[in-house]
Amino acid sequence: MQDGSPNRSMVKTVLADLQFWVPVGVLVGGLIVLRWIS
Amino acid sequence: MSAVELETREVSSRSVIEAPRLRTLQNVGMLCGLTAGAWLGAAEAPTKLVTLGLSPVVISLTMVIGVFLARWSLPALIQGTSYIAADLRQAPHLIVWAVLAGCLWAVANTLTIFAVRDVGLSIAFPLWNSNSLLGIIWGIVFFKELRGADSRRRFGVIGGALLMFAGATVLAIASASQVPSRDAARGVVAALSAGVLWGTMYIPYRKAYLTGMSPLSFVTFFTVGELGMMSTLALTYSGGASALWSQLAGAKHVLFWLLAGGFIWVIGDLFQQYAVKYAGITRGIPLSNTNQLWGLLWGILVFGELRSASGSVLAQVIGGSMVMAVGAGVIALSSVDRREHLRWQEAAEREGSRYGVRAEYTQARIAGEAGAIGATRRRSALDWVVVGLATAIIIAFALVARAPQINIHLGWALALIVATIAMLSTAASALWRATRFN
Repeated sequence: MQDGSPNRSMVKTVLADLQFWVPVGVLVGGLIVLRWIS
Repeated sequence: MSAVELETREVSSRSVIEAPRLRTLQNVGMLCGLTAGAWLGAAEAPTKLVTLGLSPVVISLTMVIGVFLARWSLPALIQGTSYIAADLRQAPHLIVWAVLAGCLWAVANTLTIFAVRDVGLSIAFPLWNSNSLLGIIWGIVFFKELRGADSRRRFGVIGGALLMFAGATVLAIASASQVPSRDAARGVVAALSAGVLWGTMYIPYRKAYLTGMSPLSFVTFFTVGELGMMSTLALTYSGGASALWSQLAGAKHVLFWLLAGGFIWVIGDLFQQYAVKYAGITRGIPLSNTNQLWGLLWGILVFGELRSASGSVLAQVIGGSMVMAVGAGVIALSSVDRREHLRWQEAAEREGSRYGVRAEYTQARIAGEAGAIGATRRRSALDWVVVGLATAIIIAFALVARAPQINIHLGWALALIVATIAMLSTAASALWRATRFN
Protein backbone atom coordinates (compact mmCIF):
# COMPACT_ATOMS: atom_id res chain seq x y z
CA MET A 1 0.00 0.00 0.00
CA GLN A 2 3.01 2.23 -0.17
CA ASP A 3 2.96 2.75 -3.95
CA GLY A 4 1.08 5.41 -5.89
CA SER A 5 -2.23 3.52 -6.18
CA PRO A 6 -3.17 2.51 -2.64
CA ASN A 7 -6.65 1.19 -3.47
CA ARG A 8 -5.44 -1.06 -6.27
CA SER A 9 -2.58 -2.30 -4.17
CA MET A 10 -4.94 -2.97 -1.26
CA VAL A 11 -7.29 -5.01 -3.44
CA LYS A 12 -4.34 -6.97 -4.83
CA THR A 13 -3.14 -7.72 -1.29
CA VAL A 14 -6.61 -8.91 -0.26
CA LEU A 15 -6.92 -11.12 -3.35
CA ALA A 16 -3.46 -12.60 -2.70
CA ASP A 17 -4.50 -13.53 0.85
CA LEU A 18 -5.36 -17.24 0.85
CA GLN A 19 -7.72 -16.72 3.80
CA PHE A 20 -9.89 -14.47 1.62
CA TRP A 21 -10.89 -17.33 -0.66
CA VAL A 22 -12.19 -19.54 2.16
CA PRO A 23 -15.18 -17.27 2.99
CA VAL A 24 -15.70 -16.54 -0.72
CA GLY A 25 -15.98 -20.27 -1.47
CA VAL A 26 -18.33 -20.81 1.47
CA LEU A 27 -20.49 -17.88 0.34
CA VAL A 28 -20.85 -19.34 -3.15
CA GLY A 29 -21.76 -22.72 -1.62
CA GLY A 30 -24.36 -21.05 0.61
CA LEU A 31 -25.95 -19.32 -2.38
CA ILE A 32 -26.17 -22.65 -4.21
CA VAL A 33 -27.88 -24.30 -1.20
CA LEU A 34 -30.27 -21.36 -0.92
CA ARG A 35 -31.24 -21.70 -4.57
CA TRP A 36 -31.87 -25.43 -4.05
CA ILE A 37 -34.07 -25.11 -0.97
CA SER A 38 -36.09 -22.15 -2.17
CA MET B 1 18.24 -22.52 22.47
CA SER B 2 15.74 -23.77 25.05
CA ALA B 3 12.00 -23.18 24.84
CA VAL B 4 12.18 -20.89 27.88
CA GLU B 5 14.94 -18.76 26.30
CA LEU B 6 13.00 -18.59 23.06
CA GLU B 7 9.92 -17.46 24.93
CA THR B 8 11.90 -14.85 26.85
CA ARG B 9 13.21 -13.43 23.56
CA GLU B 10 9.71 -13.31 22.16
CA VAL B 11 8.44 -11.56 25.27
CA SER B 12 11.19 -8.94 25.10
CA SER B 13 10.57 -8.27 21.39
CA ARG B 14 6.83 -7.71 21.81
CA SER B 15 4.73 -5.30 23.76
CA VAL B 16 3.71 -7.51 26.67
CA ILE B 17 0.36 -7.08 28.34
CA GLU B 18 0.61 -7.39 32.13
CA ALA B 19 -1.03 -10.48 33.59
CA PRO B 20 -3.74 -8.61 35.55
CA ARG B 21 -4.66 -6.58 32.45
CA LEU B 22 -4.80 -9.73 30.33
CA ARG B 23 -7.06 -11.38 32.93
CA THR B 24 -9.37 -8.36 32.90
CA LEU B 25 -9.62 -8.40 29.09
CA GLN B 26 -10.28 -12.13 29.13
CA ASN B 27 -13.01 -11.83 31.75
CA VAL B 28 -14.65 -9.01 29.82
CA GLY B 29 -14.48 -11.11 26.64
CA MET B 30 -16.13 -14.08 28.38
CA LEU B 31 -18.84 -11.86 29.89
CA CYS B 32 -19.51 -10.38 26.44
CA GLY B 33 -19.86 -13.91 25.03
CA LEU B 34 -22.45 -14.90 27.63
CA THR B 35 -24.36 -11.64 27.15
CA ALA B 36 -24.31 -12.14 23.40
CA GLY B 37 -25.97 -15.52 23.98
CA ALA B 38 -28.87 -13.94 25.88
CA TRP B 39 -29.52 -11.26 23.24
CA LEU B 40 -29.03 -13.48 20.19
CA GLY B 41 -31.47 -15.96 21.73
CA ALA B 42 -34.05 -13.24 22.36
CA ALA B 43 -33.73 -12.03 18.77
CA GLU B 44 -34.91 -15.38 17.41
CA ALA B 45 -38.36 -14.93 18.92
CA PRO B 46 -39.69 -12.79 16.01
CA THR B 47 -38.98 -15.63 13.56
CA LYS B 48 -42.13 -17.18 15.02
CA LEU B 49 -43.89 -14.92 12.54
CA VAL B 50 -43.00 -17.35 9.76
CA THR B 51 -46.15 -19.19 10.82
CA LEU B 52 -48.11 -16.18 9.60
CA GLY B 53 -47.22 -17.09 6.03
CA LEU B 54 -44.62 -14.43 5.23
CA SER B 55 -41.95 -15.31 2.70
CA PRO B 56 -38.58 -16.21 4.34
CA VAL B 57 -36.74 -13.65 2.22
CA VAL B 58 -39.18 -10.90 3.22
CA ILE B 59 -38.66 -11.81 6.88
CA SER B 60 -34.89 -11.85 6.45
CA LEU B 61 -34.84 -8.57 4.46
CA THR B 62 -36.92 -6.78 7.09
CA MET B 63 -34.69 -8.09 9.87
CA VAL B 64 -31.64 -6.87 7.92
CA ILE B 65 -33.19 -3.41 7.55
CA GLY B 66 -33.52 -3.35 11.35
CA VAL B 67 -29.95 -4.60 11.62
CA PHE B 68 -28.76 -1.85 9.24
CA LEU B 69 -30.48 0.86 11.28
CA ALA B 70 -28.92 -0.47 14.48
CA ARG B 71 -25.46 -0.95 13.02
CA TRP B 72 -25.26 2.71 12.02
CA SER B 73 -27.21 4.39 14.82
CA LEU B 74 -25.55 2.60 17.79
CA PRO B 75 -21.93 3.26 16.66
CA ALA B 76 -22.85 6.88 15.73
CA LEU B 77 -24.33 7.34 19.18
CA ILE B 78 -21.52 5.62 21.10
CA GLN B 79 -18.40 6.80 19.28
CA GLY B 80 -19.40 9.15 16.45
CA THR B 81 -18.89 8.75 12.69
CA SER B 82 -15.67 10.81 12.65
CA TYR B 83 -14.09 8.30 15.05
CA ILE B 84 -15.34 5.43 12.88
CA ALA B 85 -13.82 7.04 9.78
CA ALA B 86 -10.48 7.58 11.57
CA ASP B 87 -10.51 3.96 12.74
CA LEU B 88 -11.20 2.65 9.23
CA ARG B 89 -8.38 4.79 7.78
CA GLN B 90 -5.94 2.81 9.95
CA ALA B 91 -6.83 -0.44 8.17
CA PRO B 92 -8.92 0.30 5.05
CA HIS B 93 -8.55 -3.25 3.73
CA LEU B 94 -10.93 -4.37 6.48
CA ILE B 95 -13.78 -2.70 4.59
CA VAL B 96 -13.52 -5.51 2.01
CA TRP B 97 -13.53 -8.13 4.76
CA ALA B 98 -16.44 -6.46 6.53
CA VAL B 99 -18.59 -6.43 3.38
CA LEU B 100 -17.72 -10.09 2.71
CA ALA B 101 -18.67 -11.04 6.28
CA GLY B 102 -21.95 -9.16 5.89
CA CYS B 103 -22.76 -11.14 2.73
CA LEU B 104 -22.10 -14.40 4.61
CA TRP B 105 -24.37 -13.28 7.42
CA ALA B 106 -27.24 -12.36 5.09
CA VAL B 107 -27.23 -15.73 3.30
CA ALA B 108 -26.93 -17.60 6.62
CA ASN B 109 -29.79 -15.65 8.17
CA THR B 110 -32.05 -16.39 5.20
CA LEU B 111 -31.19 -20.08 5.46
CA THR B 112 -32.13 -20.09 9.15
CA ILE B 113 -35.60 -18.73 8.31
CA PHE B 114 -36.09 -21.63 5.88
CA ALA B 115 -34.76 -24.02 8.53
CA VAL B 116 -37.12 -22.72 11.23
CA ARG B 117 -40.03 -23.00 8.81
CA ASP B 118 -39.18 -26.59 7.83
CA VAL B 119 -37.94 -28.21 11.05
CA GLY B 120 -38.77 -25.74 13.83
CA LEU B 121 -36.60 -23.59 16.06
CA SER B 122 -35.81 -26.42 18.50
CA ILE B 123 -34.03 -28.51 15.87
CA ALA B 124 -32.68 -25.76 13.67
CA PHE B 125 -30.93 -23.97 16.57
CA PRO B 126 -28.47 -26.74 17.55
CA LEU B 127 -27.72 -27.53 13.93
CA TRP B 128 -26.68 -24.01 12.96
CA ASN B 129 -24.92 -23.57 16.29
CA SER B 130 -22.41 -26.19 15.10
CA ASN B 131 -20.74 -23.04 13.73
CA SER B 132 -18.70 -22.82 16.92
CA LEU B 133 -16.87 -26.06 16.13
CA LEU B 134 -15.95 -24.74 12.68
CA GLY B 135 -15.00 -21.39 14.22
CA ILE B 136 -12.63 -23.16 16.61
CA ILE B 137 -10.96 -24.93 13.67
CA TRP B 138 -10.47 -21.63 11.81
CA GLY B 139 -9.17 -20.00 15.02
CA ILE B 140 -6.54 -22.72 15.47
CA VAL B 141 -5.57 -23.02 11.78
CA PHE B 142 -5.46 -19.35 10.78
CA PHE B 143 -4.99 -17.29 13.95
CA LYS B 144 -2.78 -19.34 16.27
CA GLU B 145 -5.49 -19.69 18.90
CA LEU B 146 -4.82 -22.42 21.50
CA ARG B 147 -1.13 -22.46 20.36
CA GLY B 148 1.09 -22.28 23.39
CA ALA B 149 -1.87 -22.99 25.66
CA ASP B 150 -1.37 -25.68 28.30
CA SER B 151 -3.18 -28.99 27.94
CA ARG B 152 -5.80 -28.05 30.58
CA ARG B 153 -6.90 -25.07 28.52
CA ARG B 154 -6.86 -26.97 25.22
CA PHE B 155 -8.89 -29.75 26.77
CA GLY B 156 -11.23 -27.20 28.35
CA VAL B 157 -11.98 -25.38 25.10
CA ILE B 158 -12.26 -28.37 22.78
CA GLY B 159 -13.96 -30.56 25.41
CA GLY B 160 -16.34 -27.75 26.34
CA ALA B 161 -17.26 -27.13 22.69
CA LEU B 162 -17.87 -30.84 22.16
CA LEU B 163 -20.02 -30.97 25.31
CA MET B 164 -22.04 -28.03 24.00
CA PHE B 165 -22.46 -29.77 20.66
CA ALA B 166 -23.50 -33.01 22.39
CA GLY B 167 -26.03 -31.12 24.51
CA ALA B 168 -27.35 -29.40 21.41
CA THR B 169 -27.74 -32.74 19.65
CA VAL B 170 -29.70 -34.17 22.59
CA LEU B 171 -31.98 -31.15 22.40
CA ALA B 172 -32.46 -31.72 18.68
CA ILE B 173 -33.32 -35.40 19.17
CA ALA B 174 -35.69 -34.51 22.00
CA SER B 175 -37.49 -32.00 19.83
CA ALA B 176 -37.54 -34.13 16.67
CA SER B 177 -40.80 -35.82 17.59
CA GLN B 178 -42.50 -32.42 17.74
CA VAL B 179 -42.28 -31.54 14.05
CA PRO B 180 -43.65 -33.03 10.84
CA SER B 181 -40.94 -34.74 8.79
CA ARG B 182 -42.26 -33.60 5.37
CA ASP B 183 -39.57 -30.99 4.77
CA ALA B 184 -37.10 -32.22 7.37
CA ALA B 185 -34.18 -32.94 5.00
CA ARG B 186 -34.42 -29.51 3.40
CA GLY B 187 -34.62 -27.81 6.79
CA VAL B 188 -31.66 -29.76 8.16
CA VAL B 189 -29.51 -28.87 5.13
CA ALA B 190 -30.51 -25.21 5.47
CA ALA B 191 -29.60 -25.14 9.18
CA LEU B 192 -26.26 -26.91 8.70
CA SER B 193 -25.36 -24.62 5.79
CA ALA B 194 -26.15 -21.60 7.94
CA GLY B 195 -23.78 -23.03 10.56
CA VAL B 196 -20.98 -23.35 7.98
CA LEU B 197 -21.55 -19.78 6.74
CA TRP B 198 -21.59 -18.33 10.25
CA GLY B 199 -18.61 -20.42 11.36
CA THR B 200 -16.63 -19.07 8.41
CA MET B 201 -17.80 -15.51 9.04
CA TYR B 202 -15.54 -15.54 12.11
CA ILE B 203 -12.48 -15.43 9.81
CA PRO B 204 -13.17 -11.79 8.83
CA TYR B 205 -14.16 -11.00 12.44
CA ARG B 206 -10.88 -12.31 13.80
CA LYS B 207 -8.81 -10.65 11.10
CA ALA B 208 -10.40 -7.32 11.97
CA TYR B 209 -9.93 -7.63 15.70
CA LEU B 210 -6.39 -8.97 15.60
CA THR B 211 -5.55 -5.93 13.47
CA GLY B 212 -7.12 -3.74 16.14
CA MET B 213 -10.36 -2.48 14.61
CA SER B 214 -13.10 -1.49 17.05
CA PRO B 215 -16.19 -3.69 16.60
CA LEU B 216 -18.30 -0.53 16.51
CA SER B 217 -16.36 0.58 13.42
CA PHE B 218 -16.24 -2.82 11.70
CA VAL B 219 -20.01 -3.36 11.83
CA THR B 220 -20.80 -0.18 9.87
CA PHE B 221 -19.40 -1.73 6.67
CA PHE B 222 -20.34 -5.25 7.66
CA THR B 223 -23.95 -4.12 7.39
CA VAL B 224 -23.42 -2.68 3.90
CA GLY B 225 -22.63 -6.26 2.81
CA GLU B 226 -25.66 -7.55 4.74
CA LEU B 227 -28.13 -5.11 3.22
CA GLY B 228 -26.65 -5.34 -0.30
CA MET B 229 -26.70 -9.14 -0.35
CA MET B 230 -30.12 -9.37 1.29
CA SER B 231 -31.69 -6.86 -1.09
CA THR B 232 -30.30 -8.82 -4.05
CA LEU B 233 -31.65 -12.11 -2.65
CA ALA B 234 -35.05 -10.57 -1.89
CA LEU B 235 -35.37 -9.08 -5.39
CA THR B 236 -34.28 -12.36 -6.99
CA TYR B 237 -36.48 -14.71 -4.96
CA SER B 238 -39.55 -12.46 -4.77
CA GLY B 239 -39.88 -12.03 -8.53
CA GLY B 240 -38.72 -8.41 -8.88
CA ALA B 241 -39.08 -5.04 -7.22
CA SER B 242 -42.85 -4.61 -7.61
CA ALA B 243 -43.61 -8.11 -6.30
CA LEU B 244 -41.28 -7.52 -3.35
CA TRP B 245 -42.87 -4.15 -2.64
CA SER B 246 -46.37 -5.61 -2.65
CA GLN B 247 -45.25 -8.35 -0.22
CA LEU B 248 -43.71 -5.75 2.08
CA ALA B 249 -46.79 -3.52 1.84
CA GLY B 250 -49.05 -6.48 2.58
CA ALA B 251 -47.01 -7.31 5.67
CA LYS B 252 -46.65 -3.75 6.98
CA HIS B 253 -48.49 -4.53 10.21
CA VAL B 254 -45.87 -7.04 11.32
CA LEU B 255 -42.70 -5.48 9.86
CA PHE B 256 -42.00 -3.60 13.09
CA TRP B 257 -41.56 -6.87 15.02
CA LEU B 258 -39.01 -8.09 12.51
CA LEU B 259 -37.17 -4.76 12.58
CA ALA B 260 -37.12 -5.03 16.35
CA GLY B 261 -35.78 -8.60 16.07
CA GLY B 262 -32.96 -7.31 13.84
CA PHE B 263 -32.21 -4.51 16.29
CA ILE B 264 -32.04 -6.92 19.24
CA TRP B 265 -29.85 -9.26 17.21
CA VAL B 266 -27.34 -6.44 16.61
CA ILE B 267 -26.96 -5.83 20.33
CA GLY B 268 -26.17 -9.53 20.79
CA ASP B 269 -23.85 -9.53 17.80
CA LEU B 270 -21.93 -6.50 19.07
CA PHE B 271 -21.19 -8.36 22.29
CA GLN B 272 -20.27 -11.42 20.23
CA GLN B 273 -17.77 -9.32 18.28
CA TYR B 274 -16.22 -8.00 21.49
CA ALA B 275 -16.08 -11.59 22.76
CA VAL B 276 -14.17 -12.63 19.61
CA LYS B 277 -11.85 -9.66 20.03
CA TYR B 278 -10.93 -10.19 23.68
CA ALA B 279 -11.54 -13.92 24.26
CA GLY B 280 -10.83 -15.16 20.71
CA ILE B 281 -13.01 -17.29 18.44
CA THR B 282 -12.29 -20.43 20.46
CA ARG B 283 -13.86 -19.02 23.65
CA GLY B 284 -16.10 -16.21 22.46
CA ILE B 285 -18.18 -18.12 19.93
CA PRO B 286 -19.05 -21.21 22.02
CA LEU B 287 -20.09 -18.88 24.85
CA SER B 288 -22.28 -16.79 22.59
CA ASN B 289 -23.83 -20.03 21.37
CA THR B 290 -25.54 -20.31 24.74
CA ASN B 291 -28.18 -18.43 22.72
CA GLN B 292 -29.66 -21.88 22.14
CA LEU B 293 -30.49 -22.13 25.84
CA TRP B 294 -32.07 -18.68 25.75
CA GLY B 295 -33.94 -19.55 22.56
CA LEU B 296 -35.25 -22.66 24.26
CA LEU B 297 -36.34 -20.65 27.30
CA TRP B 298 -38.22 -18.23 25.04
CA GLY B 299 -39.73 -21.13 23.07
CA ILE B 300 -40.90 -23.14 26.08
CA LEU B 301 -41.77 -20.42 28.60
CA VAL B 302 -43.09 -17.64 26.38
CA PHE B 303 -44.41 -19.38 23.26
CA GLY B 304 -45.54 -22.62 24.91
CA GLU B 305 -43.39 -24.93 22.74
CA LEU B 306 -43.15 -28.60 23.80
CA ARG B 307 -46.43 -28.19 25.69
CA SER B 308 -47.61 -31.61 24.55
CA ALA B 309 -44.20 -33.26 25.01
CA SER B 310 -43.90 -36.42 27.10
CA GLY B 311 -41.96 -36.61 30.36
CA SER B 312 -39.01 -38.35 28.70
CA VAL B 313 -38.77 -35.66 26.02
CA LEU B 314 -38.76 -32.97 28.70
CA ALA B 315 -36.09 -34.89 30.60
CA GLN B 316 -33.97 -34.95 27.45
CA VAL B 317 -34.47 -31.21 26.98
CA ILE B 318 -33.41 -30.49 30.55
CA GLY B 319 -30.46 -32.90 30.32
CA GLY B 320 -29.27 -31.49 26.98
CA SER B 321 -29.52 -27.96 28.29
CA MET B 322 -27.51 -28.84 31.40
CA VAL B 323 -24.78 -30.48 29.30
CA MET B 324 -24.60 -27.35 27.15
CA ALA B 325 -24.39 -25.14 30.23
CA VAL B 326 -21.58 -27.30 31.68
CA GLY B 327 -19.71 -27.06 28.33
CA ALA B 328 -20.02 -23.27 28.38
CA GLY B 329 -18.79 -23.21 31.99
CA VAL B 330 -15.73 -25.33 31.14
CA ILE B 331 -14.84 -22.98 28.26
CA ALA B 332 -15.30 -19.92 30.47
CA LEU B 333 -12.74 -21.40 32.90
CA SER B 334 -10.19 -21.94 30.12
CA SER B 335 -9.10 -18.35 29.57
CA VAL B 336 -6.06 -17.37 27.52
CA ASP B 337 -2.70 -17.25 29.32
CA ARG B 338 0.27 -15.06 28.39
CA ARG B 339 1.98 -17.72 26.28
CA GLU B 340 -1.09 -18.20 24.11
CA HIS B 341 -1.62 -14.46 23.96
CA LEU B 342 1.89 -14.08 22.55
CA ARG B 343 0.82 -16.37 19.70
CA TRP B 344 -2.16 -14.11 19.11
CA GLN B 345 0.22 -11.18 18.90
CA GLU B 346 2.30 -13.10 16.34
CA ALA B 347 -0.82 -13.53 14.21
CA ALA B 348 -1.64 -9.84 14.70
CA GLU B 349 1.85 -8.81 13.58
CA ARG B 350 1.50 -11.00 10.50
CA GLU B 351 -1.78 -9.30 9.62
CA GLY B 352 -0.32 -5.86 10.25
CA SER B 353 2.75 -6.40 8.09
CA ARG B 354 0.72 -8.02 5.27
CA TYR B 355 -1.63 -5.06 5.01
CA GLY B 356 0.71 -2.25 6.09
CA VAL B 357 -1.05 -1.36 9.36
CA ARG B 358 0.90 0.67 11.97
CA ALA B 359 2.30 -1.63 14.65
CA GLU B 360 1.50 0.91 17.41
CA TYR B 361 -2.18 0.84 16.44
CA THR B 362 -2.38 -2.95 16.46
CA GLN B 363 -0.49 -3.24 19.75
CA ALA B 364 -2.61 -0.61 21.50
CA ARG B 365 -5.90 -2.09 20.32
CA ILE B 366 -5.06 -5.69 21.21
CA ALA B 367 -4.52 -4.37 24.75
CA GLY B 368 -7.94 -2.69 24.70
CA GLU B 369 -6.54 0.83 24.41
CA ALA B 370 -7.50 3.57 21.95
CA GLY B 371 -4.12 4.16 20.29
CA ALA B 372 -3.40 7.44 18.47
CA ILE B 373 -5.75 7.59 15.47
CA GLY B 374 -6.15 11.36 15.23
CA ALA B 375 -9.77 11.47 16.39
CA THR B 376 -11.71 11.49 19.61
CA ARG B 377 -15.16 10.22 20.43
CA ARG B 378 -17.67 13.04 19.97
CA ARG B 379 -21.06 13.39 18.36
CA SER B 380 -21.40 15.74 15.39
CA ALA B 381 -24.57 16.98 13.70
CA LEU B 382 -24.25 14.10 11.22
CA ASP B 383 -24.34 11.56 14.08
CA TRP B 384 -27.54 13.04 15.47
CA VAL B 385 -29.08 12.98 11.97
CA VAL B 386 -28.21 9.25 11.67
CA VAL B 387 -29.65 8.48 15.12
CA GLY B 388 -32.73 10.64 14.49
CA LEU B 389 -33.45 9.03 11.10
CA ALA B 390 -33.11 5.50 12.47
CA THR B 391 -35.39 6.34 15.41
CA ALA B 392 -37.97 7.97 13.12
CA ILE B 393 -38.08 4.93 10.80
CA ILE B 394 -38.56 2.54 13.72
CA ILE B 395 -41.30 4.75 15.23
CA ALA B 396 -43.04 4.94 11.83
CA PHE B 397 -43.16 1.14 11.60
CA ALA B 398 -44.26 0.88 15.25
CA LEU B 399 -47.22 3.20 14.58
CA VAL B 400 -48.68 0.85 11.95
CA ALA B 401 -47.77 -2.34 13.83
CA ARG B 402 -50.29 -4.78 15.19
CA ALA B 403 -49.56 -7.39 17.82
CA PRO B 404 -48.98 -10.77 16.11
CA GLN B 405 -51.78 -13.29 16.70
CA ILE B 406 -49.62 -15.62 18.75
CA ASN B 407 -50.37 -16.66 22.31
CA ILE B 408 -47.54 -15.68 24.60
CA HIS B 409 -46.99 -15.87 28.36
CA LEU B 410 -46.45 -12.23 29.25
CA GLY B 411 -45.07 -12.88 32.75
CA TRP B 412 -42.28 -15.10 31.47
CA ALA B 413 -41.57 -12.67 28.62
CA LEU B 414 -41.11 -9.86 31.15
CA ALA B 415 -38.86 -12.00 33.34
CA LEU B 416 -36.62 -12.87 30.37
CA ILE B 417 -36.52 -9.24 29.23
CA VAL B 418 -35.41 -8.13 32.70
CA ALA B 419 -32.70 -10.83 32.77
CA THR B 420 -31.32 -9.90 29.33
CA ILE B 421 -31.28 -6.18 30.17
CA ALA B 422 -29.46 -6.92 33.44
CA MET B 423 -26.81 -8.86 31.51
CA LEU B 424 -26.49 -6.00 29.02
CA SER B 425 -25.93 -3.45 31.79
CA THR B 426 -23.31 -5.60 33.52
CA ALA B 427 -21.36 -6.43 30.35
CA ALA B 428 -21.52 -2.92 28.86
CA SER B 429 -20.31 -1.40 32.11
CA ALA B 430 -17.40 -3.87 32.39
CA LEU B 431 -16.49 -3.35 28.72
CA TRP B 432 -16.53 0.44 29.10
CA ARG B 433 -14.39 0.35 32.23
CA ALA B 434 -11.83 -2.02 30.70
CA THR B 435 -11.63 -0.88 27.07
CA ARG B 436 -13.78 2.25 26.51
CA PHE B 437 -15.48 0.13 23.81
CA ASN B 438 -12.26 -0.14 21.78
